Parts: sequence; structure tokens; C-alpha cells
Amino acid sequence: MGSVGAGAESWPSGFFESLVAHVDAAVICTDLAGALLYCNPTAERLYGIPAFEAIGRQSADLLGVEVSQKTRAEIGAALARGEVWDGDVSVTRPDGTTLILRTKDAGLYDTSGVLTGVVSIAIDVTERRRTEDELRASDARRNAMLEAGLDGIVSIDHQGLITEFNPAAEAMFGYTRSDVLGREMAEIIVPPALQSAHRAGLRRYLETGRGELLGQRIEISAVDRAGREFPVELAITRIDLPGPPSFMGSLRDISARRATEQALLDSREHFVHLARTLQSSLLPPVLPEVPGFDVAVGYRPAGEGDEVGGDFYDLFETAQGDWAVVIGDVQGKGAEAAALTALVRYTVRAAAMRADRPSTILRIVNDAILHQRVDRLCTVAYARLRSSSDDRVTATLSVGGHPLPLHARRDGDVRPAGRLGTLLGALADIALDDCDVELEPGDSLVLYTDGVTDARAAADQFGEDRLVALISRMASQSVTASELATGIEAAVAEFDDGRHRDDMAVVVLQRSNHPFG
Amino acid sequence: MTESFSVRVDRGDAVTTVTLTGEIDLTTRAAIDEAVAEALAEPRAPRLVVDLRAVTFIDSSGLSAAIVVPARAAEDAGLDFKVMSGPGATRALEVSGLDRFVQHDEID
Repeated sequence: MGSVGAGAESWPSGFFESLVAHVDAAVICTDLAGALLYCNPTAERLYGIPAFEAIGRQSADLLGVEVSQKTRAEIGAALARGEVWDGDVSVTRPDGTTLILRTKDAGLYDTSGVLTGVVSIAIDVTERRRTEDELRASDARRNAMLEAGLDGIVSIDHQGLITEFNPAAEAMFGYTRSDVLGREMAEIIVPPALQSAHRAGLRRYLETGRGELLGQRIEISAVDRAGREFPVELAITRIDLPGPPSFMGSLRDISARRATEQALLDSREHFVHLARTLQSSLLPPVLPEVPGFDVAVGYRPAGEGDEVGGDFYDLFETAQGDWAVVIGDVQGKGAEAAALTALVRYTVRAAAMRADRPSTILRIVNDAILHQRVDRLCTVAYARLRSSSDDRVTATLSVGGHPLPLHARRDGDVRPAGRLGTLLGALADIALDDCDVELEPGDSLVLYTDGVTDARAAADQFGEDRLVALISRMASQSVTASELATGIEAAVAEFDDGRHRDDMAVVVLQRSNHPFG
Repeated sequence: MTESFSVRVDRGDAVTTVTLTGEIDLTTRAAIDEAVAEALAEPRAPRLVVDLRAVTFIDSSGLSAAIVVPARAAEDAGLDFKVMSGPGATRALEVSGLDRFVQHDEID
């Protein structure tokens, strides 16, 4: 029964009536047989039963109260002991809706202490229970996420002390949750080099409310128990709770991703390296000294350097003691182009050991390509340099489908040398000539591929006229072979703004004033 | 770069014409190969003409696809093969030595 409160001896008249009529709790009174003796307005409302219908009827039938046998026994036992029973009961109202009522059942006793009836006082906790259930469910979800999530979750309070450390974080860092709860996160998982920055960031946020990292996904280093530093992706959010700010960090170990990225990068570098190696195997590693000449080359592969281009050049001494300079352009790029380039280059060299006439050498090359049945074309310009006893130097040129080399004199006169012939690898019957050009001391012979003249700027093409004008201007200024080659390269690069969609090769031979041979 | 490119095949009883327009390079090669194959499909005219008069640029890949491939095929099949050249192709044809296929008298 307990205390009835101070002042209970002198309750003013009408107090009980007013209390039960207006209290925001359902009050009902039943006799021991369960017949309803009284029900207040709140009870009428909560149970959905008008009092005039209810009085005298069995409350169990009437009120829709669902109470198990066990609970009923508990209530009986409590009342028999003179105690109050309390608990939540579910009530189904006549309209079918259900309420949860937090109920206190107290006994009514006569003057000799014998139990005569029951007073039941109930308040509606349906809404509160629903909120509690939702909170529990969201807690359960949150816990499930923490428990089973693939991302490490580390929460800290405003002092930077760890308040949460989920199993994924345990696996990632090698600590158990109990190892680290309450310890400063900076000490545990932040690499020493970043600790002061971390602390400063937290302090700044607490002072200014501004956090640069909040809501962002960043890549940063973390350190595990063994001291291994590894890259993580980190997203920090502020936990939305009253009181001092706390934060949740979601961490993902990206070592594997980084390793994959690195492997990709390595394999690309490896590929570029292969392409460059292959390319350089198709070009003379070192330019030989050609007696009586200064030689310079310019070479620029198309694109990013990861493909083998089709342009090549070669410079070698023939069996007859002449010198041969070759420039060529194999159609296409890549491994097949490289294979044909190798075929052409070595066939030229082999042919030059047994044949003397440049056109004969190019015909041998043509036959070799046709014989290989590669469906690719090749253009070649071949010049044989021969000195005579009277110190004259004659270049004999044969040109198969290639732009004609340019002969530049010291006075700036520039003209094409040789005659146009058929490209190689296309047809069995080809037209090729041998043309002689006399090279005076200071004269230059410029061999180039169409990467020079085909260089584009918008709708404009670098073109042969521009090249001739450029060489003429440089030749009249007595430039060296190397200045000529780099001058042409630079002019083309400036013209097409470095886009170089095609390979480009330039070989310059400048007759020096020293005797030849 | 190749937005101006187009290729058309006109099959007649006496002559099949492949007409190319715009810039001809590696990127247009597949389309030209296809057109040439279509032009050579049976039954075919005894004469094959590649019309380059509206070409603005042609590189070595283009020459290969537009001239060398059909020239070889025409030779194998015993067809007469001619090229109609224009300002954008003349220089490339001269340099490559493929100008021997150029038809100098106008045909209709």
C-alpha cells in the first residue's frame, strides 16, 4: 500500500472526485470478481468504453486487456501481499486500435485489511514505447553496421579519445576495442608525423567550428600496432548529438588499390620502355663518323612514346667504301610496323653489300616486302655518297614514294634532289631512278619524313614550301648540321603546338671543308 | 579531323566508282576497306574507278586503302583500274609514285 502522502488526514471535500475526474491517467476500480465498479473519464477515453455501459460488467471482457495467465497470477500474488503491481499491458479497443498502457494495480482493503477490490491506474505509453522501439532498432542497425561493416569505424570524443572501435578497425589496426577505448586516437592510429596536425585540426574545430576534413573523403596514412604505415581512405563526420562534439571516422585500407595502381603504372612504364627499346633498336644507337661530313638527326615519335613509330633512318659504310644514308617511313605503328621496319632496314644494309646502284637496292627491298606478304607500304629515300679522287662528292639518290631530300647550298639555294619513284611493298612493277647531285663544301643534304611536311595546325599544313623557306634561311646563315636538324624540329613543334600526331625524322648531312674519305 | 570524310560506292554496268571526300588517313581506313570490298563484289563492272577529286588530305594509310588495295585486287580480277585525282591528292600521288593510275582524260 505504501505511503499516501503528507496531509492525507485532512483531504478537502471534493478532492477525490476532482482528482479522478481530471487526472491524465485511466482509473478503474473492480471488485474481486472482476466486475467494474468505477471508471474515470480518461479510462473511458483510453479503453474506448462509455462508463454507463461498463459499470457492473466484467472488466476482462470489456476492456480488451490482454494479460497472460502468468501476469494475472503475479498481479494476484502482489495484491495478496499488499503490494502494488506495475507493468505494461496491451489493450485492444473496440475500434481495433491497440494501446500500450503502463499500469499500476493496487488493492482495495477493508478496515480489517482484507482485499476487496482492485484499483487500476494506467497511462498511455504507446507513443513512448514506439519511440523506444525505434531507437532500439536504430541502435541495433548501427551496431550491426559497426560489427559487420567492412570499413573500420573509429569514433572519438571532443578530447580525441576513442569511444568506438569496430571489429573492422580491430582487424585493420591490430588492437582490440578494449585496448583502445578511452585512449587518444592520435597516439594509436595516426602516424607520428601527422599527430600534431591531427591535434591542431581537432583543436581548431572546437574553437572555430570549422573543420576542413569534415564530410570529405581523403586519402591519408594510418599506422597499425606493428608500426606499419599504410594508405587509408578516410571520411570524418560529426556525430549529431547534443553536448561537446564527437566524431566518427570511417576508414578503408587502400593498400591493395594503391598496389594495383602502382602495378598499372609500372606495366605502362614497362610498355613504354619496351616500345622505346624496340624503337631504338630500329635506329642506329650512335651515329657513325662520316668522313668529310657533319651529320645530325632529329627524331620524334608520335603520341606519348608508348608506340613504336614507323619512321626510321640509317647511316652506314657500304662494301664499296661509300657511305649510305637512308630514311624511311613504314605505314602504321606498333609491332607489325616495327617488324617491317626491321626487315627494310636490314634488307637495305644487306642489299648495299652486293648491289651498288641505289635503285637496285630499293628494288631488292620492294621484292623482300612483297615476298613477306605484309600488307603494308614503305617509303624510302636512299642516298649514296661517293667521293672521287679530285675531292668531288657525289650523292646518288633513289627515292621510292618518299618526299625528295632537299639539297641546300651555302647561299640559301634549296632544291629537291632526286626524282620521285614508287613506294615500296605495293606493286611488283615500280618506277625508280638514280639521280646524281654534286655536294660542295658547306652544302647540306636534308632527308626527312612526311611527319615534317604533314604537321598540322588547324586546317593548315606545315608543307614543303615552308620547309624549303626555313632551310634556305638557315643555310644562308651558315648554320651547322645540328643547328639545321634542331631548327627544323623546333619549327614543326611550334607549328603543330607539340601535338605530333605522326612520327617525324630528319637527317642532315653537311659537307665539311675537310677532305672526304 | 575526319568529320568531313565520306565514302560512296556507285555500281554501274560499265564502271564501279568509289568516291572519297575529305581527309583520308588511318582513322578512315576501315570504311574505305569496306567500300572497296563492296565495289569488288560480284557481279561487277569491268572497270573500277577511285575518285579522289574531293579529297582534301591523304596520307600513306589512305593511299594504301584507296589505291594500293583496289589496284592489286583489280589486277588479280583482271579489271581496269583508274584513279581520278584532285588538288588534295595530287601531291601525295606524285610522291608515292602511284600517279601512274591517274586517269588524265575526263570520263563521264
